[in-house]
Amino acid sequence: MTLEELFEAHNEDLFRFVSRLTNDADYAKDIVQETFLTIAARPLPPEASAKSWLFRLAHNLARSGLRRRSRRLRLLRGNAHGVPAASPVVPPDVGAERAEARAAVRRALDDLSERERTILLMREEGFAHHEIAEAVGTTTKSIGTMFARALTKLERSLDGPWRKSP
Amino acid sequence: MTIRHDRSATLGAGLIVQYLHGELSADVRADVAGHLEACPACARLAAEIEARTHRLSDTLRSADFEAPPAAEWTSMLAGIQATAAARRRNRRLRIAAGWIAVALASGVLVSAPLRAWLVDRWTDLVDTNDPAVPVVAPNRFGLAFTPVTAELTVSTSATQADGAIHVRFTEGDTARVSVTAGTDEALALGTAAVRITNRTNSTASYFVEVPKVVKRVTLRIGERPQVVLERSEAGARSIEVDLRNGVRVRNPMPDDEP
Repeated sequence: MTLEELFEAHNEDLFRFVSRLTNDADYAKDIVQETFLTIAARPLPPEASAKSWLFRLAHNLARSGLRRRSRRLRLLRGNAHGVPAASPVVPPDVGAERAEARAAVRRALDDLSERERTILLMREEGFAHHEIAEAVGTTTKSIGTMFARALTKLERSLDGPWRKSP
Repeated sequence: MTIRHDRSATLGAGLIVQYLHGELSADVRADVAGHLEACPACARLAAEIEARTHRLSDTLRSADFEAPPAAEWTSMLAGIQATAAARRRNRRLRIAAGWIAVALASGVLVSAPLRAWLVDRWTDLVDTNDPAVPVVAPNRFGLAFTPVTAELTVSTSATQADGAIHVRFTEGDTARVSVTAGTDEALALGTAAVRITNRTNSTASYFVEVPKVVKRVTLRIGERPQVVLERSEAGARSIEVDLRNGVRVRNPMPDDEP
Protein backbone atom coordinates (compact mmCIF):
# COMPACT_ATOMS: atom_id res chain seq x y z
CA MET A 1 0.00 0.00 0.00
CA THR A 2 1.42 3.38 -0.95
CA LEU A 3 1.42 6.48 1.18
CA GLU A 4 -1.18 8.00 -1.10
CA GLU A 5 -3.48 4.99 -0.75
CA LEU A 6 -3.10 5.03 3.02
CA PHE A 7 -3.90 8.71 3.08
CA GLU A 8 -6.97 8.33 0.90
CA ALA A 9 -8.22 5.44 3.00
CA HIS A 10 -7.78 6.94 6.45
CA ASN A 11 -7.43 10.73 6.36
CA GLU A 12 -11.06 11.51 7.14
CA ASP A 13 -11.36 8.85 9.84
CA LEU A 14 -8.23 10.17 11.47
CA PHE A 15 -9.47 13.73 11.29
CA ARG A 16 -12.77 12.75 12.88
CA PHE A 17 -11.07 10.79 15.64
CA VAL A 18 -8.54 13.50 16.51
CA SER A 19 -11.03 16.35 16.26
CA ARG A 20 -13.32 14.49 18.66
CA LEU A 21 -10.40 13.79 20.94
CA THR A 22 -9.15 17.37 20.95
CA ASN A 23 -12.23 19.39 19.98
CA ASP A 24 -10.09 21.40 17.61
CA ALA A 25 -10.47 20.98 13.86
CA ASP A 26 -7.32 22.88 12.91
CA TYR A 27 -5.27 20.97 15.41
CA ALA A 28 -6.76 17.72 14.11
CA LYS A 29 -5.66 18.64 10.58
CA ASP A 30 -2.16 19.30 11.86
CA ILE A 31 -2.10 15.95 13.59
CA VAL A 32 -3.30 14.13 10.48
CA GLN A 33 -0.57 15.83 8.49
CA GLU A 34 2.08 15.05 11.09
CA THR A 35 0.94 11.44 11.31
CA PHE A 36 1.38 10.89 7.59
CA LEU A 37 4.65 12.79 7.57
CA THR A 38 5.90 10.52 10.30
CA ILE A 39 4.99 7.34 8.51
CA ALA A 40 6.37 8.69 5.23
CA ALA A 41 9.80 8.61 6.81
CA ARG A 42 9.51 4.93 7.73
CA PRO A 43 8.67 1.68 6.02
CA LEU A 44 4.90 1.67 5.66
CA PRO A 45 3.04 -0.65 8.03
CA PRO A 46 1.40 -3.81 6.66
CA GLU A 47 -2.03 -3.15 5.26
CA ALA A 48 -3.78 -5.31 7.85
CA SER A 49 -2.50 -3.29 10.77
CA ALA A 50 -2.18 0.07 9.01
CA LYS A 51 -5.33 1.61 10.46
CA SER A 52 -4.52 0.61 14.01
CA TRP A 53 -0.96 1.81 13.54
CA LEU A 54 -2.05 5.17 12.15
CA PHE A 55 -4.57 5.83 14.89
CA ARG A 56 -2.13 4.90 17.61
CA LEU A 57 0.43 7.26 16.16
CA ALA A 58 -2.12 10.07 15.76
CA HIS A 59 -3.33 9.46 19.29
CA ASN A 60 0.21 9.73 20.66
CA LEU A 61 0.95 12.86 18.63
CA ALA A 62 -2.28 14.48 19.77
CA ARG A 63 -1.66 13.55 23.39
CA SER A 64 1.85 14.95 23.47
CA GLY A 65 0.67 18.09 21.69
CA LEU A 66 -2.25 18.48 24.07
CA ARG A 67 0.05 18.23 27.06
CA ARG A 68 2.15 21.05 25.68
CA ARG A 69 -0.96 23.12 24.96
CA SER A 70 -2.31 22.38 28.40
CA ARG A 71 0.91 23.57 30.01
CA ARG A 72 0.77 26.76 27.95
CA LEU A 73 -2.83 27.37 28.94
CA ARG A 74 -2.03 26.88 32.61
CA LEU A 75 0.76 29.40 32.30
CA LEU A 76 -1.50 31.88 30.54
CA ARG A 77 -4.15 31.47 33.18
CA GLY A 78 -1.56 31.88 35.88
CA ASN A 79 -0.32 35.10 34.35
CA ALA A 80 -3.65 36.65 33.46
CA HIS A 81 -5.93 36.97 36.45
CA GLY A 82 -9.53 37.35 35.52
CA VAL A 83 -9.02 36.22 31.96
CA PRO A 84 -11.46 33.41 31.23
CA ALA A 85 -10.11 30.03 30.27
CA ALA A 86 -9.86 29.45 26.55
CA SER A 87 -12.97 27.90 25.12
CA PRO A 88 -13.26 26.05 21.85
CA VAL A 89 -13.57 28.31 18.88
CA VAL A 90 -16.82 27.78 17.04
CA PRO A 91 -16.49 28.44 13.34
CA PRO A 92 -19.01 31.02 12.18
CA ASP A 93 -20.56 28.71 9.60
CA VAL A 94 -21.51 26.17 12.22
CA GLY A 95 -25.06 26.48 13.44
CA ALA A 96 -25.84 27.37 17.03
CA GLU A 97 -27.39 23.98 17.64
CA ARG A 98 -24.33 22.12 16.53
CA ALA A 99 -22.12 24.44 18.52
CA GLU A 100 -24.22 23.80 21.59
CA ALA A 101 -24.11 20.06 21.04
CA ARG A 102 -20.40 20.19 20.55
CA ALA A 103 -19.91 22.17 23.72
CA ALA A 104 -22.01 19.69 25.68
CA VAL A 105 -20.15 16.72 24.26
CA ARG A 106 -16.90 18.47 24.91
CA ARG A 107 -17.76 19.06 28.55
CA ALA A 108 -18.83 15.47 28.95
CA LEU A 109 -15.71 14.10 27.25
CA ASP A 110 -13.56 16.39 29.38
CA ASP A 111 -15.02 14.76 32.47
CA LEU A 112 -13.64 11.43 31.35
CA SER A 113 -10.08 10.42 31.89
CA GLU A 114 -7.86 10.48 28.84
CA ARG A 115 -7.92 6.68 28.76
CA GLU A 116 -11.71 6.49 28.98
CA ARG A 117 -12.07 9.08 26.24
CA THR A 118 -9.71 7.19 23.96
CA ILE A 119 -11.49 3.90 24.60
CA LEU A 120 -14.88 5.34 23.67
CA LEU A 121 -13.61 7.15 20.60
CA MET A 122 -11.53 4.26 19.31
CA ARG A 123 -14.44 1.89 19.73
CA GLU A 124 -16.55 4.37 17.87
CA GLU A 125 -14.05 4.05 15.01
CA GLY A 126 -14.57 0.29 15.03
CA PHE A 127 -11.40 -0.89 16.69
CA ALA A 128 -11.25 -4.28 18.35
CA HIS A 129 -10.58 -4.50 22.06
CA HIS A 130 -7.01 -5.73 21.63
CA GLU A 131 -6.20 -2.71 19.43
CA ILE A 132 -7.72 -0.32 21.94
CA ALA A 133 -5.90 -2.07 24.76
CA GLU A 134 -2.62 -1.63 22.93
CA ALA A 135 -3.28 2.07 22.40
CA VAL A 136 -4.17 2.83 26.00
CA GLY A 137 -1.77 0.38 27.56
CA THR A 138 -4.03 -2.10 29.30
CA THR A 139 -5.22 -5.68 28.93
CA THR A 140 -7.72 -6.69 26.29
CA LYS A 141 -10.03 -8.23 28.89
CA SER A 142 -10.34 -4.99 30.83
CA ILE A 143 -11.56 -2.97 27.85
CA GLY A 144 -15.17 -4.16 28.12
CA THR A 145 -15.44 -3.04 31.72
CA MET A 146 -13.68 0.24 31.05
CA PHE A 147 -15.89 0.92 28.07
CA ALA A 148 -19.06 0.31 30.10
CA ARG A 149 -17.80 2.52 32.91
CA ALA A 150 -16.85 5.32 30.54
CA LEU A 151 -20.20 5.12 28.81
CA THR A 152 -22.05 5.42 32.10
CA LYS A 153 -19.85 8.29 33.18
CA LEU A 154 -20.39 10.10 29.90
CA GLU A 155 -24.13 9.68 30.16
CA ARG A 156 -24.12 11.20 33.61
CA SER A 157 -22.04 14.12 32.43
CA LEU A 158 -24.05 14.87 29.39
CA ASP A 159 -27.18 16.87 29.76
CA GLY A 160 -29.42 18.62 27.27
CA PRO A 161 -28.90 17.05 23.87
CA TRP A 162 -27.86 13.71 25.33
CA ARG A 163 -30.89 13.22 27.55
CA LYS A 164 -33.24 14.65 24.99
CA SER A 165 -32.00 12.37 22.26
CA PRO A 166 -34.13 9.27 21.69
CA MET B 1 -18.45 -22.93 30.33
CA THR B 2 -21.08 -21.75 32.74
CA ILE B 3 -21.66 -18.05 33.11
CA ARG B 4 -22.33 -17.19 36.69
CA HIS B 5 -24.47 -14.09 36.95
CA ASP B 6 -22.48 -11.44 38.74
CA ARG B 7 -24.50 -8.98 40.75
CA SER B 8 -21.83 -6.34 40.29
CA ALA B 9 -23.16 -4.20 37.45
CA THR B 10 -19.70 -3.11 36.38
CA LEU B 11 -18.31 -6.59 36.00
CA GLY B 12 -21.48 -7.76 34.35
CA ALA B 13 -21.42 -4.77 32.08
CA GLY B 14 -17.84 -5.55 31.05
CA LEU B 15 -18.77 -9.04 29.95
CA ILE B 16 -21.88 -7.78 28.22
CA VAL B 17 -19.84 -5.20 26.35
CA GLN B 18 -17.46 -7.94 25.22
CA TYR B 19 -20.49 -9.91 24.08
CA LEU B 20 -22.02 -6.95 22.24
CA HIS B 21 -18.70 -6.10 20.59
CA GLY B 22 -18.14 -9.64 19.36
CA GLU B 23 -15.05 -10.10 21.51
CA LEU B 24 -15.92 -13.46 23.02
CA SER B 25 -15.02 -16.88 21.77
CA ALA B 26 -17.86 -18.91 20.29
CA ASP B 27 -18.51 -21.05 23.38
CA VAL B 28 -18.45 -18.15 25.83
CA ARG B 29 -20.60 -16.16 23.51
CA ALA B 30 -23.16 -18.97 23.43
CA ASP B 31 -23.14 -19.14 27.23
CA VAL B 32 -23.65 -15.39 27.55
CA ALA B 33 -26.46 -15.45 25.00
CA GLY B 34 -28.11 -18.22 26.98
CA HIS B 35 -27.76 -16.28 30.19
CA LEU B 36 -29.22 -13.12 28.69
CA GLU B 37 -32.27 -15.06 27.57
CA ALA B 38 -32.79 -16.37 31.08
CA CYS B 39 -31.91 -13.27 33.07
CA PRO B 40 -34.13 -10.20 32.53
CA ALA B 41 -31.83 -7.95 34.61
CA CYS B 42 -28.79 -8.72 32.50
CA ALA B 43 -30.85 -8.53 29.31
CA ARG B 44 -32.03 -5.11 30.40
CA LEU B 45 -28.46 -4.05 31.08
CA ALA B 46 -27.36 -5.32 27.67
CA ALA B 47 -30.14 -3.40 25.95
CA GLU B 48 -29.25 -0.32 27.93
CA ILE B 49 -25.57 -0.52 26.97
CA GLU B 50 -26.49 -1.03 23.35
CA ALA B 51 -28.82 1.96 23.40
CA ARG B 52 -26.20 4.13 25.11
CA THR B 53 -23.65 3.12 22.53
CA HIS B 54 -25.98 4.15 19.73
CA ARG B 55 -26.73 7.43 21.48
CA LEU B 56 -23.01 8.03 21.88
CA SER B 57 -22.55 7.58 18.13
CA ASP B 58 -25.44 9.90 17.34
CA THR B 59 -24.29 12.55 19.77
CA LEU B 60 -20.72 12.49 18.54
CA ARG B 61 -21.85 12.71 14.94
CA SER B 62 -24.14 15.62 15.73
CA ALA B 63 -21.23 17.51 17.22
CA ASP B 64 -18.62 16.63 14.60
CA PHE B 65 -16.57 19.27 12.85
CA GLU B 66 -16.99 19.58 9.13
CA ALA B 67 -14.33 17.55 7.39
CA PRO B 68 -12.01 19.59 5.20
CA PRO B 69 -13.02 19.75 1.52
CA ALA B 70 -11.40 17.37 -0.95
CA ALA B 71 -9.16 20.10 -2.36
CA GLU B 72 -7.67 20.70 1.06
CA TRP B 73 -6.88 17.01 1.48
CA THR B 74 -5.28 16.92 -1.97
CA SER B 75 -3.17 19.89 -1.10
CA MET B 76 -2.23 18.36 2.23
CA LEU B 77 -1.16 15.10 0.59
CA ALA B 78 0.98 17.00 -1.92
CA GLY B 79 2.58 18.90 0.95
CA ILE B 80 3.24 15.70 2.87
CA GLN B 81 4.85 14.07 -0.14
CA ALA B 82 7.02 17.10 -0.88
CA THR B 83 8.08 17.48 2.75
CA ALA B 84 8.80 13.77 3.05
CA ALA B 85 10.97 13.90 -0.06
CA ALA B 86 12.82 16.95 1.29
CA ARG B 87 13.31 15.25 4.65
CA ARG B 88 14.70 12.16 2.93
CA ARG B 89 17.13 14.35 0.98
CA ASN B 90 18.14 16.20 4.14
CA ARG B 91 18.57 12.95 5.98
CA ARG B 92 20.91 11.67 3.27
CA LEU B 93 22.84 14.94 3.46
CA ARG B 94 23.02 14.74 7.25
CA ILE B 95 24.34 11.19 7.03
CA ALA B 96 26.94 12.27 4.49
CA ALA B 97 27.85 15.27 6.63
CA GLY B 98 28.13 12.99 9.62
CA TRP B 99 30.59 10.75 7.84
CA ILE B 100 32.59 13.76 6.67
CA ALA B 101 32.65 15.09 10.22
CA VAL B 102 33.85 11.73 11.49
CA ALA B 103 36.53 11.66 8.82
CA LEU B 104 37.62 15.20 9.64
CA ALA B 105 37.59 14.51 13.35
CA SER B 106 39.75 11.45 12.76
CA GLY B 107 42.15 13.59 10.74
CA VAL B 108 42.33 16.18 13.50
CA LEU B 109 42.91 13.52 16.11
CA VAL B 110 45.71 12.02 14.08
CA SER B 111 47.30 15.26 13.02
CA ALA B 112 47.07 17.10 16.33
CA PRO B 113 49.86 15.14 18.07
CA LEU B 114 52.01 15.32 14.98
CA ARG B 115 51.43 19.03 14.75
CA ALA B 116 52.34 19.46 18.41
CA TRP B 117 55.45 17.42 17.81
CA LEU B 118 56.45 19.60 14.90
CA VAL B 119 55.70 22.84 16.67
CA ASP B 120 57.75 21.70 19.57
CA ARG B 121 60.80 21.29 17.39
CA TRP B 122 60.56 23.76 14.55
CA THR B 123 58.74 26.90 15.48
CA ASP B 124 61.99 28.62 16.26
CA LEU B 125 63.32 28.36 12.77
CA VAL B 126 64.02 31.82 11.55
CA ASP B 127 63.48 33.39 8.22
CA THR B 128 66.64 34.16 6.24
CA ASN B 129 65.27 37.59 5.60
CA ASP B 130 65.68 38.22 9.27
CA PRO B 131 67.90 41.33 9.52
CA ALA B 132 69.85 39.54 12.21
CA VAL B 133 71.26 37.27 9.51
CA PRO B 134 74.14 39.26 8.03
CA VAL B 135 74.60 39.46 4.32
CA VAL B 136 78.32 39.30 3.91
CA ALA B 137 79.03 37.78 0.57
CA PRO B 138 77.57 37.29 -2.88
CA ASN B 139 76.40 33.89 -4.00
CA ARG B 140 74.94 33.28 -0.64
CA PHE B 141 71.86 31.18 -0.25
CA GLY B 142 69.49 31.32 2.63
CA LEU B 143 67.41 28.44 3.73
CA ALA B 144 64.58 28.46 6.16
CA PHE B 145 62.46 25.46 6.87
CA THR B 146 59.29 25.93 8.80
CA PRO B 147 57.67 22.56 9.14
CA VAL B 148 54.72 23.97 11.02
CA THR B 149 53.53 25.30 7.72
CA ALA B 150 55.78 22.92 5.80
CA GLU B 151 57.48 25.74 4.00
CA LEU B 152 61.02 25.66 2.84
CA THR B 153 62.39 28.84 1.42
CA VAL B 154 65.61 28.93 -0.51
CA SER B 155 66.65 32.36 -1.57
CA THR B 156 69.70 33.89 -3.11
CA SER B 157 70.87 37.25 -1.98
CA ALA B 158 73.09 37.86 -4.96
CA THR B 159 73.52 36.91 -8.56
CA GLN B 160 74.03 33.22 -8.97
CA ALA B 161 75.75 31.52 -11.80
CA ASP B 162 75.11 27.94 -12.60
CA GLY B 163 74.74 25.30 -9.94
CA ALA B 164 71.87 23.21 -8.81
CA ILE B 165 70.03 22.89 -5.56
CA HIS B 166 68.75 19.55 -4.46
CA VAL B 167 66.25 19.32 -1.70
CA ARG B 168 65.43 15.84 -0.53
CA PHE B 169 62.78 14.61 1.81
CA THR B 170 63.05 11.47 3.78
CA GLU B 171 59.38 10.73 3.67
CA GLY B 172 56.14 12.10 2.46
CA ASP B 173 54.78 12.73 -0.93
CA THR B 174 55.28 15.29 -3.63
CA ALA B 175 56.55 18.69 -2.70
CA ARG B 176 55.53 21.85 -4.42
CA VAL B 177 58.03 24.36 -5.65
CA SER B 178 57.62 27.77 -7.07
CA VAL B 179 60.13 30.29 -8.23
CA THR B 180 59.32 33.74 -7.06
CA ALA B 181 62.21 35.46 -8.74
CA GLY B 182 64.88 34.67 -11.24
CA THR B 183 64.71 33.38 -14.74
CA ASP B 184 65.61 30.30 -16.58
CA GLU B 185 65.58 28.09 -13.54
CA ALA B 186 65.04 24.43 -14.04
CA LEU B 187 62.87 22.70 -11.50
CA ALA B 188 62.80 18.96 -11.25
CA LEU B 189 60.16 17.75 -8.88
CA GLY B 190 60.24 14.20 -7.63
CA THR B 191 58.18 12.30 -5.11
CA ALA B 192 60.66 13.04 -2.38
CA ALA B 193 63.04 15.54 -3.82
CA VAL B 194 63.30 18.81 -5.59
CA ARG B 195 66.14 19.71 -7.88
CA ILE B 196 66.54 23.33 -8.74
CA THR B 197 69.05 24.22 -11.40
CA ASN B 198 70.24 27.74 -11.80
CA ARG B 199 71.49 28.08 -15.37
CA THR B 200 72.18 31.70 -15.76
CA ASN B 201 73.26 34.56 -13.69
CA SER B 202 70.26 35.63 -11.80
CA THR B 203 68.94 36.48 -8.45
CA ALA B 204 66.45 33.84 -7.53
CA SER B 205 64.19 32.86 -4.75
CA TYR B 206 62.71 29.43 -4.48
CA PHE B 207 59.80 28.54 -2.37
CA VAL B 208 59.38 24.91 -1.61
CA GLU B 209 56.41 23.48 0.16
CA VAL B 210 57.12 20.11 1.62
CA PRO B 211 54.78 17.67 3.26
CA LYS B 212 54.19 18.19 6.94
CA VAL B 213 55.38 14.72 7.75
CA VAL B 214 58.89 15.40 6.48
CA LYS B 215 61.47 14.41 9.04
CA ARG B 216 64.63 15.54 7.31
CA VAL B 217 65.57 18.00 4.63
CA THR B 218 68.81 17.65 2.78
CA LEU B 219 70.08 20.54 0.76
CA ARG B 220 72.90 20.32 -1.72
CA ILE B 221 74.03 23.12 -3.94
CA GLY B 222 76.17 22.27 -6.88
CA GLU B 223 79.05 20.14 -5.80
CA ARG B 224 79.05 21.51 -2.31
CA PRO B 225 78.63 19.29 0.70
CA GLN B 226 75.06 18.72 1.57
CA VAL B 227 73.34 20.34 4.49
CA VAL B 228 70.92 18.33 6.51
CA LEU B 229 68.15 19.61 8.70
CA GLU B 230 66.75 17.07 11.07
CA ARG B 231 63.65 17.65 13.07
CA SER B 232 65.42 16.03 15.96
CA GLU B 233 68.14 18.64 15.89
CA ALA B 234 67.11 21.03 18.57
CA GLY B 235 69.73 23.55 17.50
CA ALA B 236 68.95 23.53 13.80
CA ARG B 237 67.85 26.91 12.66
CA SER B 238 68.60 28.81 9.55
CA ILE B 239 71.40 27.85 7.25
CA GLU B 240 73.57 30.07 5.13
CA VAL B 241 75.16 28.58 2.07
CA ASP B 242 78.00 30.34 0.37
CA LEU B 243 78.80 28.86 -3.00
CA ARG B 244 82.30 30.21 -2.98
CA ASN B 245 83.28 29.38 0.52
CA GLY B 246 81.37 26.23 1.13
CA VAL B 247 78.40 25.60 3.25
CA ARG B 248 78.04 27.40 6.50
CA VAL B 249 75.38 26.82 9.01
CA ARG B 250 74.34 29.84 10.90
CA ASN B 251 73.19 27.92 13.92
CA PRO B 252 75.44 25.07 13.21
CA MET B 253 74.83 21.47 13.69
CA PRO B 254 78.00 19.85 14.90
CA ASP B 255 78.84 17.95 11.73
CA ASP B 256 78.33 20.89 9.44
CA GLU B 257 80.44 23.37 11.26
CA PRO B 258 83.24 24.38 8.87
